[in-house]
Formats: sequence, C-alpha cells, structure tokens
Amino acid sequence: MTAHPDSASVPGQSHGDGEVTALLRRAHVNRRESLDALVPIVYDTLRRIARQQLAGERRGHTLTATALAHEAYMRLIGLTRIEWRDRAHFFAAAAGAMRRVLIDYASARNAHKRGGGANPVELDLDGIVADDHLEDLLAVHQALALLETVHASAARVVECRVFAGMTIEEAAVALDLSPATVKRHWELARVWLGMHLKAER
Amino acid sequence: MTPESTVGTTTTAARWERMAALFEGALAVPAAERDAYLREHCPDPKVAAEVRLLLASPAEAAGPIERLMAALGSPAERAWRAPAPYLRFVPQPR
Repeated sequence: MTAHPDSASVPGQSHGDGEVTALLRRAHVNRRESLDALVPIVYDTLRRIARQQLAGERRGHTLTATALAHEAYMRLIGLTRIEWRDRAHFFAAAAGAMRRVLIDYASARNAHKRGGGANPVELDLDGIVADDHLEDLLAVHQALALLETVHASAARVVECRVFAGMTIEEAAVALDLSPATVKRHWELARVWLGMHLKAER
Repeated sequence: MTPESTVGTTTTAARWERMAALFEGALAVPAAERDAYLREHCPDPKVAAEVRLLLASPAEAAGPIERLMAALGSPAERAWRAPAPYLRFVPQPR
C-alpha cells in the first residue's frame, strides 16, 4: 500500500474506511474545514482517472465531468455504505475539484493555443470540454470568483450545478441548505453571472 | 444607470450583498407582492430600482452557463427533474 491510501491507484478498490470517509464524517462538525481538505484529494483522483481513461480509450469517446465525478466516488468510497448526506458532501467537494481540474486545463490549453513556447497541455481534457467551450469555461469561472466575494453560498450552488451536475434538491443536501434557498441562490447567481458575462463581451 | 456599472468591484461589495439579500427576499414572496416587499425593506429607491431590474432580467435560456452545463454533461433541463443516480433518496424539504 502506498503512503496515501486514498490516492486510489487500483480501479474499483474501495477506500471507504480511509481518510476520505473520515473527512466526510468530520464534516458534520466542521463542514468547511473537512470539505476543503477533501478537495485536493478528489482533485488528484479526478486527474488520475482522466489520465488513465484517456490513455486507454479512443478519442471521441464520451468522458463527461459528471461521469468523472462518479468514477472518483467509486475509487475513493466505492461500495462502502455511507450516509446520504456524506455522499452529497463528497460531490460538493468533487464539484470544487472538478472546477480546478477544468480551469487548469483551459488555462494551459489557451496558453498553448496562443503559442509563446508553452508546452502542450499535460492532461488533455478535450473530450470533456472542447475548445469551443474554453472561453465559456474561463468566463464563468472568473464571474464565479467575483460572485464568491459577495455571495459565497450562491457561488457554491453554481459550482455544484455546473461542475457536478446536481439538481436543486441535490445541491440542497450537499450544501446543507433548503431546496427553496438553493433555488433562490441559483436564480440570483444566474442573473449575476448573466450580467457579468454580458458585460465582458 | 445599469447594474453593470455598479457591480463587481470591492467598493460595492457591501451594496451587492444588500441587493442580493433583497433580491432573494423578493423572490420568496409572490410576484404580485414584490414591489410592496421592496418598498417595505429597502428605503433607498436607487437600490430598490436596481433590485427590480434584476428581478425583471430573465436569465438567458442559452447563455454561457447553459452552454457550459450542456458541454459538461450537466444539462439544465434534466437538472430540474430527475435526480442524478448518486442521490436517489431526496429528503423532504426542511
């Protein structure tokens, strides 16, 4: 076993009794701290899965962000039974991690496209987000970063919806909010993002 | 004055937080009562006007967020209905 039992390297192997489930349990007491600690673990796992899938599969096969998040869940938690709330918390952290993975990719890809001697991207996620969507991705990310400064909860809702494909109800569980609150946050965020994204064009 | 000109800077962060709270508060009451809600909760007519503008701006059906959601396999249409398989048990609203 490696020094990091949660850095799953064996497909399908469960690490349910490891660091990840411990962090999820601790999130009941200190939500933010636990989930912040979880994000880098999920980030590494997402990258590892993407790399393996891209190495083993033909181009053009569908690798979606949500499928990747599910695969990360299987690697890190597997069939271990955990509370549904913990499960939702996991996907909230996965949404944050997915956002980072995609932004890293989009930034590197853009830099490479512009030339300037930049190396080709290390992890090619063209299957998840094609070049056509790089601008949308970066623009949404930047507007979201701005929203975070005035309404962090609304930004979390967008993260869960966009980067982990959650419904309003799922985001409510993941963020420990009521569905009605999530829906209002979502409406606010859409208006805010719409305004800021339009202003940039 | 359009909202674009007043949002997004650190100096107006507090103002935006206030507008966000009013926006969400107004959303929570029936559409017909929103004007009255704003009159009651927002003494500053300029802020109230901007919140009304926000309430009146329909989010684009095919804006960057929707395009991105579709591209990432998080389609907005689906998301309002069928829960993703990883969260089959949806608790009752609190």
